Amino acid sequence: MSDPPVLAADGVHVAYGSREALTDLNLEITRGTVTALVGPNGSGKSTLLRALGRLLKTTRGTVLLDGEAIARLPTREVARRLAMLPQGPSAPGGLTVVELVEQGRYPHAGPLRMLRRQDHDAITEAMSLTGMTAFANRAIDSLSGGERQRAWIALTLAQSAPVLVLDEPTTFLDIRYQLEVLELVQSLNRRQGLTVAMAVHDLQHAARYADRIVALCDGRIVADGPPPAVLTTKLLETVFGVHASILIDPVTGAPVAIPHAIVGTQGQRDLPGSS
Amino acid sequence: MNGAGSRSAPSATAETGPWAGDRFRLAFLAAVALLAGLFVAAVALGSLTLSPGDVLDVLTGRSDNALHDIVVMDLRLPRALVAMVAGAMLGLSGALLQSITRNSLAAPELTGVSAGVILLSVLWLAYGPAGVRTGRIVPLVAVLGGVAAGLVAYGISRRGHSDPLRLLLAGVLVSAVLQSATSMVVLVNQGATGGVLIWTIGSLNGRVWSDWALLWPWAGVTVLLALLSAGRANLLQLGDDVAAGLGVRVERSRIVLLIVAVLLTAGALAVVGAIAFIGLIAPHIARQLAGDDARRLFPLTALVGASLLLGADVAARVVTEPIELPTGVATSILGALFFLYLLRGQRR
Amino acid sequence: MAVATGQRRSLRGRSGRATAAALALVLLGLSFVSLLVGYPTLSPAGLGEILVGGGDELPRLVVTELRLPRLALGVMAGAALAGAGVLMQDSLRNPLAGPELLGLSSGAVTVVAALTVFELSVPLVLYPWFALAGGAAGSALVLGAMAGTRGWNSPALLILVGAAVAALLGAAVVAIVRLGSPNDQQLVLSFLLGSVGGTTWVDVRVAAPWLAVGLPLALVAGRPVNLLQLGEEVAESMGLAAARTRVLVLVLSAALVAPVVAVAGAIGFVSLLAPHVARRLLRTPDARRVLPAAMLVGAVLLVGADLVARQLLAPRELPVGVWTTLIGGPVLLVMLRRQLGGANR
Repeated sequence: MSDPPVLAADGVHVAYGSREALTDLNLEITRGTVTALVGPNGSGKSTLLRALGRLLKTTRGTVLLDGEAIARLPTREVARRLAMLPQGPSAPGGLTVVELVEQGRYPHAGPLRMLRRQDHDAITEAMSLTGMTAFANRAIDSLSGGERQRAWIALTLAQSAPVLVLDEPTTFLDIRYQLEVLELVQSLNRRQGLTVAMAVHDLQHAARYADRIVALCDGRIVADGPPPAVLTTKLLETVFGVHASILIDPVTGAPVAIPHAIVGTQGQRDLPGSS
Repeated sequence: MNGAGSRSAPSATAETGPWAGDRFRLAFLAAVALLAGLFVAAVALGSLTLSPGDVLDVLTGRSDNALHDIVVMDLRLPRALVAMVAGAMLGLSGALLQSITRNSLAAPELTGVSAGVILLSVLWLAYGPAGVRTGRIVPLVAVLGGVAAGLVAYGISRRGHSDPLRLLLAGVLVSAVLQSATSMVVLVNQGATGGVLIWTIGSLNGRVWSDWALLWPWAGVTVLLALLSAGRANLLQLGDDVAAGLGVRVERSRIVLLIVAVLLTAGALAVVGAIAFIGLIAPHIARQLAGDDARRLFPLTALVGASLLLGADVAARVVTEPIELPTGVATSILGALFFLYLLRGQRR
Repeated sequence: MAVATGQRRSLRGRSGRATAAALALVLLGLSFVSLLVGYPTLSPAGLGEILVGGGDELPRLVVTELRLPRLALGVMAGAALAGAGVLMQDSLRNPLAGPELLGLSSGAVTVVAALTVFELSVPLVLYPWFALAGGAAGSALVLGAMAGTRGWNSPALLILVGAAVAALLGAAVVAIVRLGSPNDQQLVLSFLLGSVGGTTWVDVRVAAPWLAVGLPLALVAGRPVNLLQLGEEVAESMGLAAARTRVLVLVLSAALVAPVVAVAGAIGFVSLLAPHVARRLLRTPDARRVLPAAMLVGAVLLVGADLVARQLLAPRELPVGVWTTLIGGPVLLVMLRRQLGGANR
């Protein structure tokens, strides 16, 4: 790890009013890796990503982008280095894919400046990487869930930023489209060298597509490492409150967690209620 | 799963850039042609109908009919120009508001500006220094009222950050309160404020060159500002988070766009009264033809708005000959038609 | 969103009753004051004399023919408007629902304005029916337009559609008034704002039968309305014919508002504000409890506002609707600021 972390959180606290959502959080994202944030609802995954993406201000501590305090960098500069896709983005339905993706050039060109050759190139490449070239003039509300999400990813790619932050990119998508999006993310990392940090709901997705899993619970990091090291029965018990078996996926070799019972006051061998 | 989708954009070639697209070009040209046609109609039609030839004669100074001269040059021409420009301003304002609030039913009337315009006009008529209460000053005062009301509504709706819903709510409540105050003034000063009733729905009756002189500079600046903010509007439409992620100063951009919308509305309403529905309907129509990209939507909306108000004005004058309805009635009928369209169930 | 269980009732019940008692006391106090002040102002003793049948003729007439009917209407109208507000807000699950934004007031006013200006010979007794028809039409327009975009419980949508319909109908009223005499203009303007000035027993007799039936019905409607608050699907699964019930509840609301508009015009903000105040005071959304409390609040608001309308700029009197709006508007905004923040649609 001689490469300085491209994105880092240093002693970060984030509070909503009196409630502290992130407590003393330290995290370093290494360049060129895919990091998945997991944890139950309310554990702080989204909050952490939003803080990393400068959408939230930290109450204490600093977020660093390429070693510089992100809060002090000009907004457009941050946008050139870090692209963020929030959860469930929405845009007017009649917007076409290309009209959407074009907006990604704002950090480089600004809203008034006409698009230059390099802007057009970036847009074309973004659409090609996401397989959206054929959909260029389709309205986004005429696309399937997976296609629409890919269009949004194309928007972030058009920013030409080396870091991609995604907040639950696969929630609400059908299985097929979930895989579509994750495969795309993985290929962007492997082939374009993009650094990816994403919050995911599904542990399987994290295990299969990430180089590193960071598990959060109540605003703190409780586990951090490669999937086999993190996805343990102990983690599932303490963080998710379930007893589970860990198997190995025969096809991909990734660890798979299968929950059996709820960790409850009635003892450890509760059978699930349904028959 | 949306397969073929209920609505697909035209199959143009995959060019990027704001002015590509045959459909848009066609629509734009059609809108210009329509506006030109309406303009001719506005000048030619009325209680004294002129032929296009007569009109041309007057405009080029070759007419020897004094009555024609008066009717065209003093009455209809300024009125038509005011209608076009005010309509364009209202349409643009509606388009701006709809992108700020991310809701295609937002209308400039809801920002409190109309109520402010009326209240200040009424206050001036009732309590303004005698001798200065002429028609020339009222629009100036009215504009101030409109802008102030709009800003108050915005100020009220902020609470650390602005929220589109609260903005609408604040606008509606501010309007209600100001309308009450207006009624109070009217009830207490019955003599001075007689004509105000018409003002509350809008009328272009009696718009003359002095009104045009007040309107066009204001319009020139604000319309230009509106067209220039199309890019910013596009970014805001994507949602606060995405826009911020792209490097936009969201709060500041929103304020700027809102101020432009308020200026547009106040300027137009100060001269024509509280005309409603143009700002609501024009963007809807334009959106069907131009899509959601503001760089195309805004210019087309301006044209559509101009056509709508000009058309409504012509209709108000001509359809119920010899009674002349206030233009506000015609735009309200447009509003009613729009509602029927909504009733039939439309996608959002 | 709790329907109070038996247990909670005993904990909340006390404060509920205390609140109701306090409100009733305030109402009594205001009523008393409203009978006393004015032109001429009486002493409590003098008032007492009059109420038992004695006293000088002029003050007696003033009290019995002017102030009492005005007070009676104020109380009934306040209760009716507030009750309608609760019913509408809860059945549509929309904190901004009320006769103003649902086109009920403007529809009713348009019809009544037409009746007045065109001098159609309709006996006053029938006015509420016409107001009801107009109000129902206005509401149908708003709700129909909202149904087209499936968003009854969206406050933003209600504002947009409601304000537009109100503008539409307002223009209709202006057009109607323009066809009348200048005298009519004054009349209609007052009417548009809502006024209980000049109320006589005739007016009270016109409105009373409607409200005598409507107000108890409203109280009874509390239970089904509670179910509606849980959403259409949940309500259906509990055996309530949701769509039909909602229509009935809305018709009932219209029937509460129509007689008030017919007799006193479109008094604004009482329906919007009273429910929220009552809910805050009782700290429950339970419609069965909120309804009676809101009715008391509504009566207090209206009688209080009328007192202000009469006395503040005495001897000049402004329509009560001016005051309910001037005061109610900002108060509503403050109350709703927190509730609506972040609910973006």
